[in-house]
Amino acid sequence: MREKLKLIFIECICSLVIAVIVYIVLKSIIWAVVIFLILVALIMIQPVLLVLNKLIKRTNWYKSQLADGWKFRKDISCELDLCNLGSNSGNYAFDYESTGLKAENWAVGPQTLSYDFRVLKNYFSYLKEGATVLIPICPFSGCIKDFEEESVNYKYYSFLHPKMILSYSKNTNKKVMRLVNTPFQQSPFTSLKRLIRDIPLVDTQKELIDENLMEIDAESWMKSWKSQFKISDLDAPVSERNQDCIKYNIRLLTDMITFCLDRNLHPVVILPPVSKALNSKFSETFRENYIYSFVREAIHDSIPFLDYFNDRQFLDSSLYFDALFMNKKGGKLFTKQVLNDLHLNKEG
Amino acid sequence: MNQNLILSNGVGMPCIGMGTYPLQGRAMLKAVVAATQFGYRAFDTAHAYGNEASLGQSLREAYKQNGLKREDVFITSKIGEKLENGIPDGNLFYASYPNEKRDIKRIVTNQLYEILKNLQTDYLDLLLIHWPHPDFLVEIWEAIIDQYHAGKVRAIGVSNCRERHIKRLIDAGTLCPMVNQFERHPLNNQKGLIKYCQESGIQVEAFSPLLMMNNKLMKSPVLESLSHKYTKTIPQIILRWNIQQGVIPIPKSGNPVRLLENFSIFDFDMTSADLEAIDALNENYKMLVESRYCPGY
Repeated sequence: MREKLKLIFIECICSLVIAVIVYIVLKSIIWAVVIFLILVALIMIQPVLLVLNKLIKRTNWYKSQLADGWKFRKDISCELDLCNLGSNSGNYAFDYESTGLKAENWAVGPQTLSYDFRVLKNYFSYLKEGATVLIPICPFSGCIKDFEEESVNYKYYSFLHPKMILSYSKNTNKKVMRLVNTPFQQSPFTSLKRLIRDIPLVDTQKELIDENLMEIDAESWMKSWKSQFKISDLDAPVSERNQDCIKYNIRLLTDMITFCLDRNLHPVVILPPVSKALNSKFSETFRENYIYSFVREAIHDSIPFLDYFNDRQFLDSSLYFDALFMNKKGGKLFTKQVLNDLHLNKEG
Repeated sequence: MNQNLILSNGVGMPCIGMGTYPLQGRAMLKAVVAATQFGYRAFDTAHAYGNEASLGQSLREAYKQNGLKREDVFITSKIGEKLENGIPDGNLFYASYPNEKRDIKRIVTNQLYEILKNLQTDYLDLLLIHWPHPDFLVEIWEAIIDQYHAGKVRAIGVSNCRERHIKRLIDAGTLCPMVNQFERHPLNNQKGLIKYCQESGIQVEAFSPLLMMNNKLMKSPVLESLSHKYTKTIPQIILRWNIQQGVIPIPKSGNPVRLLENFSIFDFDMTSADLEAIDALNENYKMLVESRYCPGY
């Protein structure tokens, strides 16, 4: 910033010199002033853009465009005690504030297990020897290899190494990085619109206590999953397509665990809780076919699997801002429990 | 004195070198000519730095001005990826799909050919793997061994490698690296890795030994008191700490005054208690967080 201001100052001085030269050559004060004003106006575009971009970067719209990329563009301290990966459910379930641990929430939403691994490969050197890696899984984690829609992966351009991004394209990189660095120039109309009226941020303080609303939300989640994974009956045997995905993810989870162990990191597989309304929609048959058999095949006995799906203390609606995602209060309570169970709680 | 340390294959290597990244052009020339005058004989570069040609030309000029010959200097370079925004782009040594076969030998041979051409020499004193790229680490190492056997390089080694990377090479039944170059300074003393390397006969080389004159180092009360005690500057104390622990530091500077200062470290010895006091500054701080440069590292 200081460098830029210095540059602007030098440019203004140069404009003044040019104006003086114009005056000497043309003997016209008017032309000298006109030239000087034009040059200064051109120079002043830069600080205006600088300020505009700074303001835009504070908007929820800008932050939502880059999902959770900001977590990786800030200064991450080294020698972390712990990190968690995961998709949105992991993102909202873990909150390390005032835990006394050096920990980072590296969940990015929405995210597949394959990208969990890519994030880990790209960032694990921030962890200290013997650090813990929490790998949260969701009820349908096994059913997806990667998102078919390429735009879902745009967020990774701002913080993953090109070789970690599937179907990486230089053009997309340019486009995304322009949005990251200079959002106004990349998207001027939307930027101005969002400066005037921003989009609301997800309210993680909210408590969805209304049972009816919770039920409606749980239904909506189930409907969208069934459609996404082409499941008509949750208790029916797993389809060939989903079986293929589950096999792929078993291999992936096994590889992630081996990766951690090779680097003297402690992997822990976690099934975070969901609200009571959503929990009741998963039968024992579903849980066995889609979750437990998947985890059993992927991990061996020495790897902890912490299952909070049925934990009564986390069924309460006041811990969620929707049927699936925990709110701030829920995240804090859940994180504390996980750290206690892993004997990592430094809070006392 | 700038003594030679003997590598596991009997080749001598100067106990201090000059790092050259990101010097280029006239700045490189000025620094290299001054460095050779002061007594520096080891120069470190890498294909990724894009300054090999500059170093080659500067060395040629330095030979002329200081009456040196090629065999009087020790040149190190590294096989690696091009840098994009300061990070290796991964285009050569990352597999596009699992178990992909790639002609690594050809890539290494071609890159070494370019390195030698740029440096205006027909052999290198030391060739390193810049990063332990996980997909082809053993293949790159085998290709480098071929160049060693062909006489194109006098010694070979690795860079940025941990114990597990070196074990992987040894387990593959290949030659043990002769040198491992990695980040090492008082804020990250790498005790464990140094112990492993020294027990395995691997010479350790430290890049960023002064951590770019980081404030935390330059204002450290421990280093300040040692600086007063030995009437040496803090960089000199740090470089001497490396040398007394058998580590070759390769500080970079383009400033002749600093180059001379960094080289004037052979007229004093620190006590083991003082070396330990510097060791105690360790906080495992990393300037280069490895997995960001080499994912899957």
